[in-house]
Amino acid sequence: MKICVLGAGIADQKSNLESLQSRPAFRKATRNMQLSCFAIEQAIQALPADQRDQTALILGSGLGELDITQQFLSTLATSKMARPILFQSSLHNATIGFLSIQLGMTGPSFTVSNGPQTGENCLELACSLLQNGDCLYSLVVGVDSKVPSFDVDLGEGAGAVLLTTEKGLLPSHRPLGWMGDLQRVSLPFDSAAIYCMAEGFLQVERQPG
Amino acid sequence: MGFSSITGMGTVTPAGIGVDSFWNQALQGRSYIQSGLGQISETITSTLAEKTSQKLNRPLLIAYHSILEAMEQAGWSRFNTDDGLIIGTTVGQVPLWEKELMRWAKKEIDFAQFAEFLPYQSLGHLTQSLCQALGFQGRSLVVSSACSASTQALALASVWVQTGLVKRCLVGGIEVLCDLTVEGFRSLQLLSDNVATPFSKDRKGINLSEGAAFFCVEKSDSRPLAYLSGYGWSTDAFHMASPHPEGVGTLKAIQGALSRAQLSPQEISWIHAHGTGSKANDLAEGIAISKLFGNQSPPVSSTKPIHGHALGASGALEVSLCVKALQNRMILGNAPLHLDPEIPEISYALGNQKSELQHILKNTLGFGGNNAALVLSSANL
Repeated sequence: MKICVLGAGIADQKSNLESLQSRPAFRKATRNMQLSCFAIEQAIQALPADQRDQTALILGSGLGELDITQQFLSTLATSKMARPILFQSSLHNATIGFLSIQLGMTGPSFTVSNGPQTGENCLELACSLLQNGDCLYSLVVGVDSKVPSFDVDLGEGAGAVLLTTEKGLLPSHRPLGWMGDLQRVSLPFDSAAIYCMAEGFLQVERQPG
Repeated sequence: MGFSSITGMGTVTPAGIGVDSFWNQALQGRSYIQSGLGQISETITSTLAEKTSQKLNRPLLIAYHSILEAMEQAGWSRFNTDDGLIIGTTVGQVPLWEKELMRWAKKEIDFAQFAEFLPYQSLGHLTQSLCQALGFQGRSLVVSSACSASTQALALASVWVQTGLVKRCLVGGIEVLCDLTVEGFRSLQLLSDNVATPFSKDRKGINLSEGAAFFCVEKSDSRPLAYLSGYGWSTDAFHMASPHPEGVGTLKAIQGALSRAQLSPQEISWIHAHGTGSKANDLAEGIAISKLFGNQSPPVSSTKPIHGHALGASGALEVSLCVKALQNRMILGNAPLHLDPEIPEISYALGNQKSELQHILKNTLGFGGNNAALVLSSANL
């Protein structure tokens, strides 16, 4: 069964997140939440509004909410205070919890974190679920972000793709392309495969003819 | 989608090394929760270390030995390249770096000294280390969906095996106690210092614990301990830390599991609930069960008063009890002393009961709104 890409989006250091950050719901959103949402909002435009419960949401992140975890533990260490709002945003799946609420996604959701294999794992999982009939659409997002207080060069960005099979294709859809073999490009964060895939598809779309 | 077979399982818990110690603890109704937590003792980890020629850290040691037990039972002498490995965990190896991070935050060490421990933060590091220790070279995946992580992992193992993505799958969960989760849940006022009392009117909260449980999963023509016959999953999309109060998401996951198992609600022999002892979880779950089963529910119980809540590993640990229950034809009962009037009437398992168990529903609700449910079926069907 062939898998097609209906939409793609990316967020990187050139992206202007101000429009997101000004929304009340994003007042306490982490960097991961902002980046991933920015990418998803580009990718999700082809998703029929009534199919949010038939869509698998898969998020991949190599480091998870490391910055928030660091903030929680640092505050605990220095002031002996455990801040609940930091804790609930510190777990790996906090990002997907936030995204599911913002997007109204009630289908299956998965947080994947497997080091450099994260991006590929997410895309393979999405394809498995689609081919097995566990969902009609799969929205895959990969995200990693810097930790400002860490003296280490971590990459940052997000990429999202919306996938479906021929069963989910509507006459109004204009697929960006079809899934073939995954090509890895070395980028400085673990969710790279999705980022470069999203970027690749966006570039294909932008090319004339 | 057909059934998948569970052909081997292994656990390491505060009850001891091996599934039988865990099962016997639960069968006797003896809680290992102390001061609100369930911790694997130094004696157990020292014993594990003595049995291991490789130098493994604590989380790896616990996972590794539960895997060895599972493999031995399944008759897997080694791994093949077409095998799969799926791990469910919330914190992975956090204890190996969180103390160093806190020392760095207090300026007791510099960043370079802390950074030596930073690789342990990655859940991929846990997988890679485990693969190295096991000599595993097949396909791997780590799912970190909080309390539903290992339930999802088991469902995915079934998908992988049934679709032929892998020939066999080693799957399970590993979770260890750490300051992050203990202090985090305490800050949310979700912890109880006493043994949890799920579904009861005066329930005070959850007991965090730790442990590992792993399973060997194969196609359904293998000789099983039990069958993995259905799975369901959903997302609440409601709140980051509380389930939907009407149990909408968990109801959907349960319905999905029954549908895939091609079972009606009446065919479920026992509901092994998530039943953490938190106000919100037990209410949402109780409402969902009531909506689906009405007042004709099969016996419902949670075994978390015995073993606590091992977060990402909880689904896997509790599935091991479900498999033993099917083999021994025994429901593990744990009825609340004082029923919560807010939870609609459902039938609780008042105590351990001999039963011709055929199908067990195992349910989990996760932080962030992840819900996952499994149907486990007797090998004697």
